Amino acid sequence: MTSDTSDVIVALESIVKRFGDLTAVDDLSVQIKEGEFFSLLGPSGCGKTTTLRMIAGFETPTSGTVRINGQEMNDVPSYKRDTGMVFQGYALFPHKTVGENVGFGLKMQGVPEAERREKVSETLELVNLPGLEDRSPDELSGGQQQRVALARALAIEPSLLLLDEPLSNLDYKLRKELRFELKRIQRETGVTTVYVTHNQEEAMSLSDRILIMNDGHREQLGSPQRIYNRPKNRFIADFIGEANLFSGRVANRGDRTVDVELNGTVEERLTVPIEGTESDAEFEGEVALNVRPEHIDVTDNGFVSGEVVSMTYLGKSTRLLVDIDGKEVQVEVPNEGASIDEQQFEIGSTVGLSWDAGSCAVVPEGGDR
Amino acid sequence: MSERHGTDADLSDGGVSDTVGRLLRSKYLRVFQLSPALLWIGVFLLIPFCIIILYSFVPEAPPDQLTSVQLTIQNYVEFYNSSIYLSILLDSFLIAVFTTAFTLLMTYPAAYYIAFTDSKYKNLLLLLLILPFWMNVVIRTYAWRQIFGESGLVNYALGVINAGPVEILFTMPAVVIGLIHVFLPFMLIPVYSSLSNIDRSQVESAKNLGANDLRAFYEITMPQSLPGVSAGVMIVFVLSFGAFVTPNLLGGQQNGMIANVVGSMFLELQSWGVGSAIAVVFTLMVLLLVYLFNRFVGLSGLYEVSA
Repeated sequence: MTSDTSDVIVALESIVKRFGDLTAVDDLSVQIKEGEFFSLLGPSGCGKTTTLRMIAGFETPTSGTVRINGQEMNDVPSYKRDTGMVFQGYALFPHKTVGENVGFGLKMQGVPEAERREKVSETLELVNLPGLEDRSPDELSGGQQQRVALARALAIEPSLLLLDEPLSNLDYKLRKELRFELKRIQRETGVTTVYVTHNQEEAMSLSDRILIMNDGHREQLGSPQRIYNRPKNRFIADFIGEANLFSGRVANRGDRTVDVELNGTVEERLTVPIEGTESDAEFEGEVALNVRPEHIDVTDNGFVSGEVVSMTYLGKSTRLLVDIDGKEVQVEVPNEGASIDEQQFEIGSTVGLSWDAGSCAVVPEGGDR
Repeated sequence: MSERHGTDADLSDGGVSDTVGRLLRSKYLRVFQLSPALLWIGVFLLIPFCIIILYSFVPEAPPDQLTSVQLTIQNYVEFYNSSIYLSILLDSFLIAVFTTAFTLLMTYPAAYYIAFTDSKYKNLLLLLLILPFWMNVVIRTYAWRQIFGESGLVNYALGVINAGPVEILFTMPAVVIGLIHVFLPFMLIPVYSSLSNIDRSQVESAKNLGANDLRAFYEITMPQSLPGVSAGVMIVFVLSFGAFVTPNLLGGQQNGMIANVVGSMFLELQSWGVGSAIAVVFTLMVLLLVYLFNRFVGLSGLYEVSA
């Protein structure tokens, strides 16, 4: 899969970026393919924005190579890179109209005015803001400004669209709305997109592939499903969704499964599926078992029981915090079929929990990478 | 509750807090807020200026009694007929234009650098450039005389390389150099503030869209710095046009500016009428220039706090 480089748009080859003593990006290699929606996800300060800025040409790698369409880009200035970028604060030109903003890239390319005007109105239509050419950016709402910034980046039909936390300045509802919009526009244009975010929900819902970064290096690369269901380590299990991590040890290694014996409170032996590709070393000795809250069932004959400590009604489900001998476990129980008026559970009551071994993930312990 | 009639009048007919609230919202409060400053300007600017206007139209100023004053335009005729006053007014105008132009040329790059640098000395640099603000202008200008004088630093240095001596002190260039020095901060601050208001990601965005550094400056940075530039230009021009101390000390008898002429009319020549007439003409000229500037360039940068 990775050996085929014909459809690779961006290739980062062992890039390192240092700012003084601080290493922002540490030996990162990744390939981004034509037409995909690729997210760089991680907590703030993990180096994701620096990585994006190196692709855009606003930062030069301390070492390593940035390639776009196979060409080495390290010494190519940003204005010759054929990328369209949307900045976190939009960076619209306040002294220019919406139309002039969107047409700016075309003007720099020397596109004649009539042609430019046509393309601008076309692009504004694409982002659902038809006819706003003569407005000033100040007159627009945050969501509209964001769309103008997107239109401005798309108008030049770049081979690469770069998005730096484009939704983070918007309120929750608008953010969700624009997320779908962004996905639609990306599908319609088919433009290869690199999306930087610290919001795992956004990354999961938008991306074809996600690269999770922490402390400047790569934690895991894969599809949202893969990352959610097979987190490679505790950090990822915790960062993506909610995690219940139980420590245990590998008792037996099968071909596509491992038998895990849980330590202490939950004495149970589970046969958990794994990928065949992972190295053996990761599945020996101490491991952790991750069970997502929605995969835990509340039953009378669970193999473990605990006390309900807190309970949050979420509409379609109820979130329980269950104390199992001092370890707090999050459980999400669907409200379907439950009584309309009454609570399903009571704080302080004892409930039995069980889960299907197939929905667990073995998380290697020890090596953080 | 049953006693309420439910009209609008009822709602506003509240207790003491309502009365206070209404007072705070009323237009009288605005008058109170404005009056100290307006009073100050009225008493110390408008009234004296009216007196000057009056003086410019009487044959013998100050008049002995105000009851039977005879109005005349004799003072204006005298000013108009004297080629020396007119040429000083023109020289003053030119000095102000040169001062403004050189100040702008010198401060823009500095303001640009300070506005966009990441240096930890950013504030120190800004402080150094506005340092002239904090030292007395008379003392500073006397120091200039030690540099420009006949046996001053400049001529000493020229003597070392067997050149010179040159005559700088009491010439027009000396006045311009001195005025640039005095008014530099007045240009630097508005230009710097309009430049530092520009979001740097706008420049990056322009480059991302294909603009090289020069085009990004021309399209993004420069237009957004214009409010600061026009504010600085106006302030420096008006202040240097009417400068008194610097031309007095560096221009001497031959190269004084219009304010020095007015000053000597009042202080030495005891010719208050002609002095007042010159002052009135000068003021009208400044107002006309400000009006024209506002009309064709715009002064929004002077009034708008944030660009």
